[in-house]
Amino acid sequence: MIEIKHLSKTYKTIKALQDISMILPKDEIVFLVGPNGAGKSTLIKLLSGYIKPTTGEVLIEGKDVQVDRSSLLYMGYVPENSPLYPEMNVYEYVKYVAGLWQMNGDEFDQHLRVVVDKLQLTEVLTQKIDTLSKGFRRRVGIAGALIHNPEILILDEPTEGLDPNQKHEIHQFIKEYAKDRLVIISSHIMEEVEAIADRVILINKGKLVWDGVPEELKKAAPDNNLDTAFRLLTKGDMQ
Amino acid sequence: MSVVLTIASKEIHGYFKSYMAYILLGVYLLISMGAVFYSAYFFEYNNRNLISFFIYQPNILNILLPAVTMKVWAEEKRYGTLEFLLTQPVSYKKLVLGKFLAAWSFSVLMLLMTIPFAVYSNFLIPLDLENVCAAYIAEIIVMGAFCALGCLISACNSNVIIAYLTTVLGGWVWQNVNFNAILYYFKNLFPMLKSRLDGVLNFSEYYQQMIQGQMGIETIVYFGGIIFFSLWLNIIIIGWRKG
Repeated sequence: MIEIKHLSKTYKTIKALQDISMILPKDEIVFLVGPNGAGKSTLIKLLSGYIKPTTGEVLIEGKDVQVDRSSLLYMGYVPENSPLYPEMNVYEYVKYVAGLWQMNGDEFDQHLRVVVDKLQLTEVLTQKIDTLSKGFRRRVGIAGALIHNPEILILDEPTEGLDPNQKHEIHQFIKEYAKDRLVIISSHIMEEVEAIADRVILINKGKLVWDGVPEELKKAAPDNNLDTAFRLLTKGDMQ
Repeated sequence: MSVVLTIASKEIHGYFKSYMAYILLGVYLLISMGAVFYSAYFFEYNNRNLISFFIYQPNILNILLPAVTMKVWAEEKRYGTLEFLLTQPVSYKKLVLGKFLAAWSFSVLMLLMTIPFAVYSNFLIPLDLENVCAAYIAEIIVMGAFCALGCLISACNSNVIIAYLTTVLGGWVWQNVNFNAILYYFKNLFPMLKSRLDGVLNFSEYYQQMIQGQMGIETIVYFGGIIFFSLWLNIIIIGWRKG
């Protein structure tokens, strides 16, 4: 479980996030949505422990992510654009991540089989990362985040730039993975929310604007459409 | 420790995969041997302690080792993998140590490739093997100091070229500037330490002793201190840079 308490982040004079509080339990696919520059990626980076908050705290299973780095043991995180090491092949990359997690050989082999099968990476396992397509690179990034079977998976815009087939594959995977786990996805694509979200958190200009199930968010629009609700809430016509 | 070795192993594999390693090793040998036989008059001087080899090593290392260390952190930032790395459950200490060990190990490999030259020299002129071994060990420690400084400067930069140039400049300053001027005021504050403060920060004072096989405790403290302080600052900068 993740608990966010009065989280704020200010970059010089820019208030990227303002007093965000929420609880994210297991067994949910949570979408963080909002327009570009709303603060979604900032919130994701704070959840992952990559950046420090100006005020407030992020607790993962009761541990402050800034104070106790063992809180990261619960988490798998794929940053925006899924950064990888181009000179490595897929197997080497996943093995490297497993090494950082101090997984032993048997554990790694067992998890590798499962992850490679789920993400359909068998055919590219020995291929260099810089020769892979965008879709495969995203899957490799997710494979690295999953190799240690985390309870919390955080994905920052995982389907950005992918074709519809690739998006569908990622969605199917996320649905299956989210059973008994927490998956947090940052996105501004409302069709993804409709496809797989259990809960939607809408952020605009650093503030929490909406927190609820997708069906309730739809009802907020006259035409029962998520895109319309998104537009109305973020353009300030409705709160 | 296994995490440190995992990180170091990944870095070293990266050097060889990009062919950078082969080029650096080749260039190092070429320049070192060129310096020994054409600039240092190997056959004209008494080289029982291979002084002609060691005398130019700091200058050579100052050009080549930054090419090893420049990408250590700057490239992670450039590729975006720094965010991935700093969100793994690995302490900054282990990350810094792993990358430093990789750079240092590679530089030691560079040095070890000159062993055949030392063996060859021993057939030409009987070497003072004790002195030569001590000088090689001293050179390894000096390489460690260069690598630690290079890694620190790489951590301060996002641009690999700037990291390289800054490290070369920093290394040149470290080797050539007379720090006695900085210590002038300390000498007046602590007159009883006046004689001991002479040259206490100067690279050349320690290096000359080391390559003649005279490595005292002050030398180990000096270079060890540079390694320790650079790595410590490196850890702080990584934590600070993450935002």
